[in-house]
Amino acid sequence: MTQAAFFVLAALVDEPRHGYGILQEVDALSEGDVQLRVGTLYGVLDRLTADGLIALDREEVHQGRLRRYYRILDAGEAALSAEAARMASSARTVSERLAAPRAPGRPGLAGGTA
Amino acid sequence: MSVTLVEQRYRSVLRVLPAYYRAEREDEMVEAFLHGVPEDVRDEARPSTGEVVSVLALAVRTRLGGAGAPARYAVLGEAVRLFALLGVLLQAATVLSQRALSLAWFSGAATLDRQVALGAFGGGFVSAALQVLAWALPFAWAGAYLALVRDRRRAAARLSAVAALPTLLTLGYQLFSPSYTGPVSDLAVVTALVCWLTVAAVACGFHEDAASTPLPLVPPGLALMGLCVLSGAAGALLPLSLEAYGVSGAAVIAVGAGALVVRVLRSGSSSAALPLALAALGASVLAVWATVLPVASQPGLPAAVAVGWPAETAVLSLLVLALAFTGVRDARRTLASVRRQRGGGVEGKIADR
Repeated sequence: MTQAAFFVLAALVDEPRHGYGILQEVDALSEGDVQLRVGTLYGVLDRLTADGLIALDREEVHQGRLRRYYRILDAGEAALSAEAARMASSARTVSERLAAPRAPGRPGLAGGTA
Repeated sequence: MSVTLVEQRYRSVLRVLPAYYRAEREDEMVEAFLHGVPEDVRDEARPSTGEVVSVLALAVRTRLGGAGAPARYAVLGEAVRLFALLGVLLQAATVLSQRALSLAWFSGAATLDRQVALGAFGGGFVSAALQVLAWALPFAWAGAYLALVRDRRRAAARLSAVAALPTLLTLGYQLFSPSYTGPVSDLAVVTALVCWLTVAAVACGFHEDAASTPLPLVPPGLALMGLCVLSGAAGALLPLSLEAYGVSGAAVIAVGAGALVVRVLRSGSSSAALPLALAALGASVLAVWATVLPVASQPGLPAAVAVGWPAETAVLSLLVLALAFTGVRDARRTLASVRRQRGGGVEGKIADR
């Protein structure tokens, strides 16, 4: 799962959202790290829809313009949950490795050997 | 609500998307885009470069068989991917066999001949370095082929671009070097176009969303080995053939004829993508050949050139026409079958909605 698809699915967990709402939520969830363009967002929405992970929830006309709201499906929640667990497991492994005591006298990256 | 300048500009950008996609998505995308533009600048702002690039990338995906694309774009996408895969395979086989032949010749050549051959790499450090690069970089076609069969798409695009770089070096040399006094050769221009068309087909056809496209009919390793042998044999046995120019036409003829035979034997439904891709590949070889074919009309040439070149070109031309005809006919059948299955519904709705 790409990073963009991961955050788009995460943005839809609490409620159905329309295109710009998803862009804003992805920006907030990723703390500004992932800033999707509109063209990229719709490529991701196409893929998630075709894979049966999200679906159209409803259409509204707002100030004369069409808004489509998307909702996450059960398969989408399962895929997101599995991906989050995988990422958490990887992060935990790295954290444990960083926290583990290191052998004394091991040359550091900056030191080098004579 | 009046239409602002930035909306007009964004809608112009969206015209690069196919009609089926615009009909489904345009208003929604405009709404999402405008939401992010402050109202007080909507009559002067332009869509940012990033937004334009994202729409261009979406246009490539939607036209080349992205998620939920209609059948016609799915066929087009598969044809482009097969053209890319076969084109890279052909370039890889050609460069491997040509380099192997030249090394075999060099190892058995007389000392004087060797000195003459090595003289091509002289002329100062820069010239020698460029010659070495032009000789070595095309090996990256083989790496690109390996990456494609392993579905490493970005690596394949980068490697094929590296492999195609020498064509630009040649053009740059002919255009800008004071030591080159002749006109820019048609062969150099067309070779560069064909190579970069292959690179573009790899980069665009194998987009992130594209279905995996394996080599049809034969295992990828066997295909590369077989084409190396075929291309090498054609180069060794027919030294005056058109094989000496660009990619191997004999290989295209053999593979194209084989694909047609298989198509005839399997008379049922068949993908239109393979004959279309082979027709495009054959046409690219013909384009390279066309730049050197006028030589065959000069008087006093051996029969291998005066008769052989036009005959080889005629065979490949007929094959390209047969493949194109078969491909277009199969594509029409596929589209008609899809329409029938949908009960005459409008083709083009984004699937699975």
